[in-house]
Amino acid sequence: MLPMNELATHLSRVSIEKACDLDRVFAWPEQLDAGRWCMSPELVSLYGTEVWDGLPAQRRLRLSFYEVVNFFSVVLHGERPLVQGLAERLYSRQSDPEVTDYLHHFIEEENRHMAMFGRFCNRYAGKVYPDKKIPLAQDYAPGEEEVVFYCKVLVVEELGDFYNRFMMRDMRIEPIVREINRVHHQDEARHLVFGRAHLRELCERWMPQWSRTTRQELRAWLCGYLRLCWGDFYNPSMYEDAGFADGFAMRRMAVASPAGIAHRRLASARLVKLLLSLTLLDEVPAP
Amino acid sequence: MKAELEVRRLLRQWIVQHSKRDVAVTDLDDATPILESGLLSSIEVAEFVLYLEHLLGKEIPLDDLEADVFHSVDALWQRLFAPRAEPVRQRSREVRAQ
Repeated sequence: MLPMNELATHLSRVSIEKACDLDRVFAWPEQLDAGRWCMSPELVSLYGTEVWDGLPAQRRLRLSFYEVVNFFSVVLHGERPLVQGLAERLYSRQSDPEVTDYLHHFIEEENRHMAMFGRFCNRYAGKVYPDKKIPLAQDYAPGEEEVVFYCKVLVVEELGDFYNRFMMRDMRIEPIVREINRVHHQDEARHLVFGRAHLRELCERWMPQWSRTTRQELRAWLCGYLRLCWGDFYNPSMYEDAGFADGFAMRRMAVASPAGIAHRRLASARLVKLLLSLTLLDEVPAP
Repeated sequence: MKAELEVRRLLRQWIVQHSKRDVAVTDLDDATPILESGLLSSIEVAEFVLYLEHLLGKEIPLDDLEADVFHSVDALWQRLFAPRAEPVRQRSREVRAQ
């Protein structure tokens, strides 16, 4: 494994080579084709439920549109605090200069992703679904806040990347959606390499200094945070926009459905494997 | 809109059901600090927001979502449910661009 400074230098070089312009790379259509999927049906949160089985084709397509708007909104809101946090870490005394150089690219790319997701949502749905997470003050053990921050980074990026990798190859969906997923995956692949390596280094540095209680509390928080992030994929407003009368009831049904549980287990597998290897988790959390 | 006593009862019930603390409905009154006493963490609060919107039948504007709203059941009632509470907007029902 490369040392962090060499890895950061390599990733910076690739970022420069792959830099793209939203207006040049994407052909933004005036309207979307109402007869096409916007999200791959297998990723739609109701897929595999009785409600899905009973939906007419047009309702399924309509739901897939709001699902992709919600997915882009979720990733956008996940990247917003990430950019804030990365900016705070620029020129940190604890970071190598090469790492700071790469953080500049990381921030630039995340900023572009937010603009890309925001443009899609506003252009075709007229809105970005709001984030309902409320930051609360918390006390941390030495290094814990840093570990928590990079855990959040990885959760957002790993879950998002599962969806990106699926949709970027799906020829059934709207070309603009496929392309957004492809570009996002291309950049996220570097962010994930960096995030995994950096989180591993942070865990090795700080976790031996923590008490057993701190480690247990962090594991409990991480299980809750995973559940919280998955909850964002079952947005009541999204269901209501797609024509369901009670979005909250639809969320509860979909979260508890066997198909939903199986999907979350599959989509979380790579992330959970990493967190287990870092001992940030000590067992596979309930999906 | 449900009556005040019913709303307060439902809020207390939700908090007890979702708290990681071992707490009974009888341990909780409407002035009990929800966040300060650790009854709910930021993880549960995010789910709680959706439940509040469900009870209201409306979306809560982001500007109203500050930590002090969640101080107690009294604060929740006063800030979100009481007749003089700031109006919350109906969930938007956008139509897909055709």
